[in-house]
Amino acid sequence: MSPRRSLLTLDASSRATIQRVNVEFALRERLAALGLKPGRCVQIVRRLGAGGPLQVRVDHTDVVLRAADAALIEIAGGS
Amino acid sequence: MSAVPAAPAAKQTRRRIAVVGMPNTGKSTLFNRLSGVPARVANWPGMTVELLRARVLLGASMVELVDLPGLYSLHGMGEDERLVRHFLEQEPLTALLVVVNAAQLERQLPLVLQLRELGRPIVVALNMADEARRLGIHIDTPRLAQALQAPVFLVDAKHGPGIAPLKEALRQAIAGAAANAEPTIAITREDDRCEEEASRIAAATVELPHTLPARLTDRVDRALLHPVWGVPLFFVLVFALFEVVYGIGLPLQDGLQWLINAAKSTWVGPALAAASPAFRSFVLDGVIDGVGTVLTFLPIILVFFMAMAVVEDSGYLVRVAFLMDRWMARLGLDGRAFVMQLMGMGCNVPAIMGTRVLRSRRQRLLSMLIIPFSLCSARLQVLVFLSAAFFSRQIAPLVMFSLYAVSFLVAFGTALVWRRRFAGDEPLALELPPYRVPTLRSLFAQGWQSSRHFLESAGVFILGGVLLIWLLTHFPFDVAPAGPATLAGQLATFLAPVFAPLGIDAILSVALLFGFVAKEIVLGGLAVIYSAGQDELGRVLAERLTWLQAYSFMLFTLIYTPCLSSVATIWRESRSVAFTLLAMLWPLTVAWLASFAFYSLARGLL
Repeated sequence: MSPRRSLLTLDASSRATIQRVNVEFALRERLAALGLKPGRCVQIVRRLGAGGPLQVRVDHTDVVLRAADAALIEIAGGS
Repeated sequence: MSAVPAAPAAKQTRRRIAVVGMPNTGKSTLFNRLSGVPARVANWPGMTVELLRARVLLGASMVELVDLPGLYSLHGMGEDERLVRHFLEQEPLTALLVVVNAAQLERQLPLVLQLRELGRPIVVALNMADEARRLGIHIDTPRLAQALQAPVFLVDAKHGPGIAPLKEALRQAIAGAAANAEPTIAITREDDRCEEEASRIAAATVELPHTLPARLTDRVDRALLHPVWGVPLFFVLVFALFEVVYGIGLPLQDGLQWLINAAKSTWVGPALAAASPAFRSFVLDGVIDGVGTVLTFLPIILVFFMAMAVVEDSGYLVRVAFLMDRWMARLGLDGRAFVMQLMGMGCNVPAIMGTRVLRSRRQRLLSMLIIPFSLCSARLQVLVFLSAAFFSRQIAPLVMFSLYAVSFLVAFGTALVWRRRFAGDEPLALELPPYRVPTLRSLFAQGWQSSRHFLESAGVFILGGVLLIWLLTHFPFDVAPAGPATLAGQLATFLAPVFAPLGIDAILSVALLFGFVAKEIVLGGLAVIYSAGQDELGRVLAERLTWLQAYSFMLFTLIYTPCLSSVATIWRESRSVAFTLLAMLWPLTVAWLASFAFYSLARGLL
């Protein structure tokens, strides 16, 4: 099993499993309500430039988050 | 309703219903609708947070309704979640009223199931039924009720439908339960099971509108959300949208203008031939010229709002927030603020109310401060009219474009100036839904609603404001209308030192003064001041003012103090007199400075 790393480092084409969501609680609740929570499989659909927001996909839901928040989401797997 | 302690004595007699739901489900609106009176804010014994409660008569029994804070899940770690959990576990309750946003049923069902696990009677209100219907979402309520084993009702708390049956269901729910049941069941943690059941139920009961297949949405997004071309494409789309709006709206406006003129000259004029000159002038110059000129904009407003509805319903606006977030972050805001700025181009009021989605108060205030600079449909009428009167057909669109640019520049400049004071650290997490094909019903609903709103405001504010201007510019009746001897003339002399440096004719400042009530009044007021209908007004204005003066006037109209409805909304939403004053005085100052800078610079150069 590969070591834990942030969602920000995930390649556009690969998928990974969310391990931990280390953001503050209000955002964590919101993300969990949208399906972004530990155990879920996640992939990055697109990034708007370096430091710009990302579009990620969990199941059939697409969610936009900022790079700074994505950096706080730990994933495992993927490449 | 005096201070009633939630004391042991009350436990035996009173029945209590807790109102629970996710944030932004219209819970408080429903609460107010059910209680019928403005709710009392009370400190709950043993809790640090204030909860709304009200007493309601359901059937023969008096019931206490308690509005709990919005929450996403019973198991969250947030302050609100903890409070709700504590309340549900510790306080005696008879039943729960679960409020759900009908448009997001699938996402909100897990919470309903979690609440059902508590073992108390629940009644489910699918709120915002109108919005769900508008989005083409159909919910099989009998089947949903069966699946949840609880009564389910579609309600529209904002407008009223569905409230009576809901009340009846609540009455039955408490009739079944003898009294407040002491809490027995501790909150369990079976989220995953709840979620599985929720998606199963949703699949069986919710019929979603026709959306583009995922693969097609992805393909469209590849173009519209392109890291480089996404933003330029957005501007091209906005430009095309305006082309469509004016392409359809302007000819219709001309037609309506022709009709009003025909009615004025063939019927109303001759019919009033015998009336006193003052009354004749009142009807012809006040009512018909003033209000009629504003009314001719109905087709443009209608088409404009329908076009906005298409953009909004399609799912593109959220994507615009995604595209613009990077740039808005530098202003201490996020992508949603840009979208609210766009929504403000219809009317500022709903956009200001839309800031409720922001949880950070500082960021909300900053958004509320910049939204009024958005060039709304009311100001659009004045500016379209003046640009057509002073500039050729080739130049006029460029003038309008420059005003939109100024609108955004002033808004973003304001954010830059005030970001230190107001910027928050609101996190951003937006769902990107698949593209949706807007329904005809939604288009017509939007068109009807905006037209009705326009006609109502034309009927009250604009008619009132325009008639007041007519009185000021025509009284005393024996002097030349709008001359220095009239009331308006005297008022104008008083205002002259302020407006003269801007090149704004003293008498025009009277129109601006009343434009504070509603910006459309500026246009109606101009028509009254110069005793001219739409066709002549442009010519009369062009004779009296230079284009520099006109543009200075347009700049001032665009930027100055938000209209009365906007100010009232800002006050209601911010609950701060100081902030509301800032929101009134800052634009006024900026407007004066911008017009002054333009007028003196342009005069110096030309």
